[in-house]
Amino acid sequence: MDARDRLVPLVYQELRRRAAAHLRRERPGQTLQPTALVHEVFIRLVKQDHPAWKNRSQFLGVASQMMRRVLVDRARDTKGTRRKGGQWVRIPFDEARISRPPLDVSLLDLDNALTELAAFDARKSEVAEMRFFGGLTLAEAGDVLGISVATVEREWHMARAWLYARLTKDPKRRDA
Amino acid sequence: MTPERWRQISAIFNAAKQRHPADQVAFVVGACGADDALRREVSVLLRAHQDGAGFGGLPLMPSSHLQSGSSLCGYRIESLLGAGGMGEVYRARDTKLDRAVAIKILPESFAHDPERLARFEQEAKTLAALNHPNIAIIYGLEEEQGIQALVMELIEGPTLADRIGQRAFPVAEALPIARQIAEALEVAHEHGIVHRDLKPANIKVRPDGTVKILDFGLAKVLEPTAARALEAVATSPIASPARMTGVGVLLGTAAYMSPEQAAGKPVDRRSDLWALGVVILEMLTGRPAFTGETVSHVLAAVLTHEPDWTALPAATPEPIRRLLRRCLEKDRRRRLESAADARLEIEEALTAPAGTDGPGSATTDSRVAARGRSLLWTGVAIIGAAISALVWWAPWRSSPPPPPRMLLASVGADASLETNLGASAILSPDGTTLAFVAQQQGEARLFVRKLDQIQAAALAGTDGAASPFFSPDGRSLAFFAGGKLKRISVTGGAAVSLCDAPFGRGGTWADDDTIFFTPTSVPNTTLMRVSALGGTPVPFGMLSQGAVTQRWPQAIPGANAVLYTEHLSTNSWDGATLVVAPLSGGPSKVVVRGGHYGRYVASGHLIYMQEGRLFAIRFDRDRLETIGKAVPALDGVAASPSVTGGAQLAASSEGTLVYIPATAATAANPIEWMTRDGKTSSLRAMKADWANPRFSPDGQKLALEISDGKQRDIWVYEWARDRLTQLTFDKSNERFPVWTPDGLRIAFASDRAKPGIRNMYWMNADGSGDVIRLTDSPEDQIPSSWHRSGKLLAFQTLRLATGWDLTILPMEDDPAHGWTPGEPSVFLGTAASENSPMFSPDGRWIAYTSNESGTQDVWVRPFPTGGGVWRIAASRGLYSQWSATTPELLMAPAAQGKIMTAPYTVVGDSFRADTPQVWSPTNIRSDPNTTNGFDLHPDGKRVATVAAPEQVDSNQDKVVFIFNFFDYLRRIAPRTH
Repeated sequence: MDARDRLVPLVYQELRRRAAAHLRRERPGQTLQPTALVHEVFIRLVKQDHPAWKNRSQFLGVASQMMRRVLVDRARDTKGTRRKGGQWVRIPFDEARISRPPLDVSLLDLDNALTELAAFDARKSEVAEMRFFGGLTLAEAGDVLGISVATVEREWHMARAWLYARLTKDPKRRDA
Repeated sequence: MTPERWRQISAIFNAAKQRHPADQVAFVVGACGADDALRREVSVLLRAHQDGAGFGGLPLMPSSHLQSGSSLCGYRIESLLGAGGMGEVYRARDTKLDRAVAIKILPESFAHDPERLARFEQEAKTLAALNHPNIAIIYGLEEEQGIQALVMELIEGPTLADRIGQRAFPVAEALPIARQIAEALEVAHEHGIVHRDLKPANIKVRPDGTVKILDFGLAKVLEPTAARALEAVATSPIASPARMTGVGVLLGTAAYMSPEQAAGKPVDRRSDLWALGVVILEMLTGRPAFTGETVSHVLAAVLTHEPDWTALPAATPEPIRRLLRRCLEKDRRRRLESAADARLEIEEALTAPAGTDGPGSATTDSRVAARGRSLLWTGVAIIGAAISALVWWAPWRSSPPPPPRMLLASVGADASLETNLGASAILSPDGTTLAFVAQQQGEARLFVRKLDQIQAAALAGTDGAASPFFSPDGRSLAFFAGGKLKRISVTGGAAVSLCDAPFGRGGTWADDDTIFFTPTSVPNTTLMRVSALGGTPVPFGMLSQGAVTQRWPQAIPGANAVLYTEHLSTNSWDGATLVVAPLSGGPSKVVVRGGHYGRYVASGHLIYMQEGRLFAIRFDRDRLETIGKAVPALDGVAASPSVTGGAQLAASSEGTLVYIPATAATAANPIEWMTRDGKTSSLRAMKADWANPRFSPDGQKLALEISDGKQRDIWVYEWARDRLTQLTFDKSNERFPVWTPDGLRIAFASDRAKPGIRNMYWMNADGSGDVIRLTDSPEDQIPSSWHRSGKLLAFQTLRLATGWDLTILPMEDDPAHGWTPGEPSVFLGTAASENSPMFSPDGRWIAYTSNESGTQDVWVRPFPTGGGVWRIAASRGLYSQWSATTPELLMAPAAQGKIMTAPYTVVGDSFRADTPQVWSPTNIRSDPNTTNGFDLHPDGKRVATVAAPEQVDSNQDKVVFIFNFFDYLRRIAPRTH
């Protein structure tokens, strides 16, 4: 069993536990922020001084994957039970900067699209996963995968374009 | 998808996205060959690459947002404007009152807490009672199915945070904003409401300059206490603000938090005054006062660091320096007490000449008398009637040398100074005589005033004068008027024409009695030289590589060299260069990049305009080189950075500078309807700096460009509903909107890719979708008119060899790819300057303006080809427009004047226009920013324009003198640098 395999269940449990705690509290002004959560978990695990946590990039890769799982599980659980649940949206932090509504993404659709992409290009799917769910920078994602930033960027651009096209594909959409 | 196929797609996609969007289509078509499916796949990805550029850039947050079109409490939701910790904000329409509103949906958990809700309701009531123009209005609090919604005034436009970006505001721009913020705080504090979260992101500045403060008092009831929220994130050592949304928000807030807030203590109105100080400081310096990589670093800075006072521009008035120090007292007991005090300090600064809001309060003459250096100037100061304001000003509080001594004084004539071209007010070399160009009863004349006299005298025979300059001995003046360069004695007499100069752009009279001048604004014109006795001018020097104009020359006394401004385009002069060339004709050299209207002053400095400021840099006259770094010297000098590149300043050889103060509001006008009978009525009462209006094909909307003083953007005005919507937001200039014939899109010019070089773009007229680039050219382009087919866009291009030419951009509508731009072609490219090509309603003709015959006239040619070209005699127009309802061609006046019309008939292939006649007896106001000073409504009966008032409201008749200008320059840009 390598370090990564030992890492996975721990990270998953920790993330899930913390996500649940966050959502229970659900203080106004504090919504669940996956990236923040990933970093929170990292700090906590680092404090435990476990050798496996020394490799930060490895942790971030695993954490992104786990975060995706936590969020998707949660979306499946709450689907239909919450009044307005299930929809996720990307939020620029300065609300005045946007001139039109951001793209709506159903988390489950995104999850499906990532899985679909992974079927013919696993690496692009992985890069996208790290960007979406771990909030990793291109340099960090490059570290995780052991490839150059330029390569990550190329992979990311194409993955993003493919996902965007996939998620905005709407038969009613007029192609103007 | 097979891996093989995917690799193929990837390779073409990666190669294509390296190319410019305009070239991508051709590249993809070539790379995919006959494989249509492949081409489709790649095209879809490329489009998604462009559209989805922001996708995935930010982490995910849960959302519970409402669908557009849905209804809530009688409001129709239109779109999501944004979301954050404090809830989601939607744009919505009040269906009862038919007005646009902003609706903030409060967080669910909040709505379920009855105690906090009650507190919030109470607060909302107080807020709703606050009726102040600078505070966003709260219309009400609504509840439906457990959703709590706060209904507020919808305010369009950028926030102060957007506008600050990385750039400092000139003092004259920052102070009016600061004053309005202070006023809003004053009123709110009187009602016992503390903002608690005042920051640039909560302050909107509308295009007309009105400041609106958002979210008053909401922080208290909506957000968790600052200390608690900060505790949650400040401990994270790897929190990088760019990555962590939540932290980003808190960082944004922390930077404006008062020390007591940072320490978790209760907040009072003095906390708002702290934030006011931080905001003003940021406006003036262009960067946040307290920064740090993490929240804890920011808070540490707030609690322990002094702001960097040296970052304040030299021109910061003393009352503002005082105000900032008092606002940013860390101990609130020592802080400024009230917002009213802040407002008073700002108002005091606004009346100083360093500010620009017109005449200030008169102060004691005795102070001048006591410190006056020369008897002459003392004499001037005692002329009380001529003095409207006198203000002392200390840019460097810490340094002991004397501040510049400034005097705002009337020129001594009931006339209004011109400010669009070269300096209108100039001093003789010995500083004893002021000469100026001003309008009196609608005619510009040259005036002379000896400074030991109170009144100025107009010189006869100088009608239409512009950009005057003195002879080296100070006894004669040269100027441009009536298409000629002329000279006249300062004591009067006959004005003598020296040579032709149709659109003079500055001149200088050298010691050897030759005059160097720019005869015209037409591109590819070099400086010329002519004897001061007249004769045939000869070109002086050559244009540098890529440059199209040289202007505003100044012979450097004693250096046998001339200094001038040279530029690659004829707009955006902040990107121009200052060049010196020896009079003997040797090679020229660039001395300053990025600036215009350079003047050498005898203190050994070069002064020039850049981004609305006067800069100074030391200059070695013998080696013709600058020394050290440029420093800002003055704010508030009138200039024309976007149109002519001129500026309103002049120095004498003995150390005095005279300048015309900039007036902030000159460009702001309402939009009016004007009918054929000369009657005007209000189309939009609100004043704005707008230009180049175009009605949509259905006549319901008006596209126009509006300047906020920094950038020009395209807006659409639905006049029947009085609704103005901003379409473009880029920090560059977006200008010259042109509707497509189907009314779905608007093409425009923008220099977003390269400052000063405009290319063409288009976007959906309803603001949806992205801005799409239509052309990628190193040449300046301006769109003008669409052919009725919607497939041809006529535009003008500034070409190196032949100046402005008429060009046509074909657009192809391909079912697979949508609209794609084709290769532009030249329709007419002569050495003359052709502008504003306009397709006739039937698409058979193009009307345009040209100076081919020596004057700027309207011409008509058949389209696309055909024999014949017709000049409309004596049309003298800068722009023409076809009526869609009657066979007539309307023409804009070249200067302030009347719209003319030429009825025409078409017989076979022949076009015949009648002599132009007055379309409407009322003058329209000319504006050098405007190509079309009006637009004809599709009904053919009325135009949108600015009618020129019979009487000019207020004369601009004041200039500022700085008596010890050389001492001041030596101090701010000393030799030892």
